[in-house]
Amino acid sequence: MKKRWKRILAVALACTTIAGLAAGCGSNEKESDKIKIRLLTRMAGTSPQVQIYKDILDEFQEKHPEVEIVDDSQGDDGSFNNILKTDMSSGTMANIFRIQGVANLEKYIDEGYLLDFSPYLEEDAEWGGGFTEGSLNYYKVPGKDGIYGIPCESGLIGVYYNERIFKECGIDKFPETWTEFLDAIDKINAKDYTPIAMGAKTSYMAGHLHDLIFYRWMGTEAAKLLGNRELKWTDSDVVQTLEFVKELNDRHAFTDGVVGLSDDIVKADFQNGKAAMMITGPWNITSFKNPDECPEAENIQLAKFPYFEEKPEFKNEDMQVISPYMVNGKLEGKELELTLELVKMLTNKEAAERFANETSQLIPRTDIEVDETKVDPLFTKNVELCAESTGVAVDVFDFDPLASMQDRTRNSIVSMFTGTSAEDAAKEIQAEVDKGE
Amino acid sequence: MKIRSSKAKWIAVCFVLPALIIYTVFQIIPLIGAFYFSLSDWNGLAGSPITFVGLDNFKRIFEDAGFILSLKNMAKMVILSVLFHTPIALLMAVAIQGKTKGAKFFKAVYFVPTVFPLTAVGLLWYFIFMPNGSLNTILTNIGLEKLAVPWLVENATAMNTIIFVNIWAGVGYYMVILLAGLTTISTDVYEAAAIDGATPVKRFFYITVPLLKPIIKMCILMDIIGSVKVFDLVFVMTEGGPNGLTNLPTTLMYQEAFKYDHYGVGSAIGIIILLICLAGTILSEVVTSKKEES
Repeated sequence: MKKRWKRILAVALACTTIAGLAAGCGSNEKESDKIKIRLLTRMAGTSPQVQIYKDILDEFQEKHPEVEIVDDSQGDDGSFNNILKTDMSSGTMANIFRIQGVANLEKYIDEGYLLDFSPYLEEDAEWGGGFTEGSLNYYKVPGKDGIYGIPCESGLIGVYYNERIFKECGIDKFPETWTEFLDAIDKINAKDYTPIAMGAKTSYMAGHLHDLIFYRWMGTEAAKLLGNRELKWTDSDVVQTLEFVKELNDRHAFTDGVVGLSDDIVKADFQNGKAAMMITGPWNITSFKNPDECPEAENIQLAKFPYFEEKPEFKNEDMQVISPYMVNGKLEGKELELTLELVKMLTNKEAAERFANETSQLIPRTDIEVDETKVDPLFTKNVELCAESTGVAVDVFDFDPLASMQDRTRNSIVSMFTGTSAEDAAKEIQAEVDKGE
Repeated sequence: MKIRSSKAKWIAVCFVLPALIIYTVFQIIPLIGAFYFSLSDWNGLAGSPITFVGLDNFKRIFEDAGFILSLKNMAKMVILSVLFHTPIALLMAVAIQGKTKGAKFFKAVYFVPTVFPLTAVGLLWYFIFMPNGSLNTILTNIGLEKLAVPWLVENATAMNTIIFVNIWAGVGYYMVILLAGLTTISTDVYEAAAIDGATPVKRFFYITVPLLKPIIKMCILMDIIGSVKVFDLVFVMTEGGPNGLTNLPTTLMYQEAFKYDHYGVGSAIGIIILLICLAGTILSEVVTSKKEES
């Protein structure tokens, strides 16, 4: 009897394991007849922007009960990246997702993972005709026909500054030129404030600073020349842009131990009036203007990054954030139709007005009416400054086909804060390019 | 033991099969896959070609100064962890074993860091060691501002600080294992030694340590493998930075495969980590066996 039970138990164990593994390997498509739309965006958390995004998903769901929405969006960069890469390697891309950069999109297009939006933008003129030309052009990949992203967020990366501290330091007007900027840093230092809130542990902050300097010194087109290898990181002008970053560090523009500080810590310093400036994008406007979160809310203003007197032609060559929604190019039939409908709902005139008026998030459309009584003055200022841009780019590495350039450039820039020279940082970045070639 | 009847053999096979299948699917097949990818070039996109490149990925890794630095960091991590984890854990276990006053309290306190996820431990210590963190604030307030340095940034302190946190977080775990081992040593042996006039120190070196040798050996082995595999702590505290200064092969592997789309290079690093783990295991086995023989 005992033996019999032993035998049954052994067989049951083996069968369960095999069945479990088989079920894991199999598809569960038959479980439901619903069309599944999976989203992998950065819209996660509790911000007002995310709330509107979720409201739109709910509206879509209500309209299409036959659809099952799976929102895998991640606020954390690392988690987002992990899911995206796993999707890519397993060929199970979400319906709606986003990939950072432009030059690196080529391989995804070649494998058919990105939908070309151009026919759909033309087909639906009311939706497609509303986007600013520059923002759509940004998603035209060199060497490929078509538009591969729908912009869902844009805005100037500028200098948010504390007017009270500036006045206390005897600076009546935000510096327009580099020389005035350096002078202001000295004055702010003299009053024991941190001139620029910089947390280089989250290396994008140092990267953004260099981006701004790069565009002011060489223009946005130069980033494309670096990407297509017509320019080298070791060219004297490019090295000079790195030298300017180092100059700021040597001038104590940042707090001591800048490399060990993360963005949230220095942001708190800025919000609490310990730092005079912070280089960031429009996504922070709501938190800068919330008195509960930011005791200095009333004093925060926005300005463009200063230009170099010797390069006035690049005065308005700006860094802007442009984030896209991309659609899986393998979709077809009803699934594609519904996915596109959802993208349209997330980026049409009504959505753009809601995002702008309620959360200060700008979808780059020309047809939106901003209610100036509702929106924050910082947002209005951001829109005004954006309108002055003669050239627009995101990060310099966005035009580089090597995926490792994001980390390489930022890490080398950060290394200058711990003693590396601009020349050596440039050589290190160029070595990565050469290795990749 | 030999199983003679074929029925019994089948029962044994059925019992072993589930574990064998799970082990094969989740360990052996991925291992073979990693080995295959380490000899290939693949951009990480399903459907794109996988090109055989022979040992190019390994060659590239060993030519990379960043990888060599990560190997040095790993060696430092393994050596210092082994040197400090088990001895400290053993002393702690001996100190709080038996009827020591407050033993239960200390046992819980020492074990607490092990209960926390390593990511939480990393964050906790990051806030202590960051440039304007608690440690530097205390040092400044007591007039020792010269000692206040950016611990996770400076060449001399960054990796050592992470190793310190790794030791702090792991010592409780090894203490509990050794504490369990101590309970297996009969009190008669200690009593006999005491009657013979052995001092507590002598009892420790001539009774406790020799009798705990198999457990100490296991702790060292686990420590070597555990230290080679450390990832989360570095990821949370420094993300391998500044500029790769605190990278370990594990963090580099993640970056190459998941950030830079170099799946071949990432897999090759994975294979190297596996070989290092194997070598460490064999080496510790050889060293401890030789000592036993002598």
